[in-house]
Amino acid sequence: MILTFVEHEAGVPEDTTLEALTFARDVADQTDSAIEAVVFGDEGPAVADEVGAYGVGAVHAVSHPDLDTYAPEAWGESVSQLVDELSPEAVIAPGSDRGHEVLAHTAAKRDLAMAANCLEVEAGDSYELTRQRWGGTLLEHARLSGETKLLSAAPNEISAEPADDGGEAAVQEFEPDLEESDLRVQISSIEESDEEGIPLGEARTVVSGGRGVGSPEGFDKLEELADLLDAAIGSSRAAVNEGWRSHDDQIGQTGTKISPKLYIPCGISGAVQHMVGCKGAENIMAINTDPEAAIIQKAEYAVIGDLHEVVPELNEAIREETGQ
Amino acid sequence: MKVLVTVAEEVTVDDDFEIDGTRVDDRYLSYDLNEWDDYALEEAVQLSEQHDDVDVVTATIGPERVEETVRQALAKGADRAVRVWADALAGEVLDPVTKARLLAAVAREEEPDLVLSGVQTGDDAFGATGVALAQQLGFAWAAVVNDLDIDREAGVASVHRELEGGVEELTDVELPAVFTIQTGINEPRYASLRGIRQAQSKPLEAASPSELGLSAGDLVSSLSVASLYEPETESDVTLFEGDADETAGELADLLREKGVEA
Repeated sequence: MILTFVEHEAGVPEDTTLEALTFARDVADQTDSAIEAVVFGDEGPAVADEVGAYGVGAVHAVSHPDLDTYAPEAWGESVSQLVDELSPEAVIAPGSDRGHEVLAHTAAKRDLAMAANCLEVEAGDSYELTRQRWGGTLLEHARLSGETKLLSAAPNEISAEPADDGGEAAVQEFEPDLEESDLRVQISSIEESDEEGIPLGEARTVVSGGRGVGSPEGFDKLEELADLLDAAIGSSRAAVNEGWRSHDDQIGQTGTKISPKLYIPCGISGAVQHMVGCKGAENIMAINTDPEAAIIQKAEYAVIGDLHEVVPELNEAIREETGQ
Repeated sequence: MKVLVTVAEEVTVDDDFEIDGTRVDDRYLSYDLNEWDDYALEEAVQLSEQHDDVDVVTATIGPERVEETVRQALAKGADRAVRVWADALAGEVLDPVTKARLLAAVAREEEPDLVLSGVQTGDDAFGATGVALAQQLGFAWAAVVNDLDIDREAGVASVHRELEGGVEELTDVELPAVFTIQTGINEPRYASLRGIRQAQSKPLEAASPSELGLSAGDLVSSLSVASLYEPETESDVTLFEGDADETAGELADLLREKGVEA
């Protein structure tokens, strides 16, 4: 059996979870195993309605009187206890912050290695994996051994597809045996970020600038474009290091990870650290003077030109078309 | 009070590079203090500036080469450094559990009240070493901390955690604890000339895993790398190379087609 960790918001599985379920189904097919899911929170039945279509046969709904919010150690301990009880072939998590966190706890408790950000698996006694390194710049073939294989599915890489023979998932309650020490880290409150405007991480359109912008004032034109497109504004690490923008605006491995429909990087070369942050973008429209810049290779549309000329003209053209 | 900061090298790959077996050829790599750890270090150094009795010790896994990076940490204000390495570890990809074993061995010697570590290292982005370290030490743990407030008398830390989608959590954690620190929590300083000079005379101790009480079996990983390669990229970019005003009209049309124009 393949046990999949399901992350959900009020009973609706996150996209990365659906990707992980699709990935898990491939492993399940190869090993002739069933897929089951572990879900935290009261919404087990609602989640079961959703994940049945992805081939999940049973949902283990974890509940405990002292467990009403996210508690990473307790969640990892619960998954570990489910591993004891169910002896799954593998535990697969989405490649999200929580997915990695819970899996890391499970790995640490069971003293097992985990393989993060996997793309493909050939499952045998040990697993031959293809996984991302350096945020996807390089791929690695690796072998994972151990009694229970712990994997996460690389986010935004696998297209989530329901199973041909999907059905209903049964719900089974599971009450873990938790000690006080498992519960010492719990959420005491959740605050929505008080940033103004559209949060970068959730924006459908993102305009951003890098070293090529040249100055803090250079961002004015980009702000204007962002306004016209109802987009959020971001920047590369180079622009943050120059002091032109605050760290909150940084898109990249050490900043915000974005997944817009359209991303418009202006004067950004596309260093690895930046590409990790924007690889979730559906389409990239790059504006850059250098046709050899790495970002041009990753873009669907590329304007070879100076952003200081192109962006004002573009703003003008949009205003003309929309009468703004 | 003692704060142990785990400091890793950040390895960056040049835009053009060659692969040598399971590694990127050394000639195309540059080494620096891991950006995430830089914030963890700054947090510890600020604590030691606020309180006279706070000692900041760094722990690093790596061969002699990493001492250059470790000296940077000392120059920024750490008091002392420990480096752990064995030649047998060369060429291996260390998984989080193995890294944590090495760091936990250092921590057992040092007995810190607080362990700070960066959220992740750039190259493999597991983000899992901190968790495994806390587990092995039996310490409490919180990740992705972007605000840290320590009540030393009560032995409790209030931490803000940043989660995906701009959501923040507030958590109280009892010490001793391991925290992984998010970028942006503070503004890491540049080393001063005086700091760089002083760093040369600060203690930097090298220890082998066996000296720290680990056996060869503790260093065997169940994850091994067979090969490393570049993904095939299929670039089918549509280029716009005309005058800015011509291009602008075409782009505006394209944006409208894509349905992003407001």
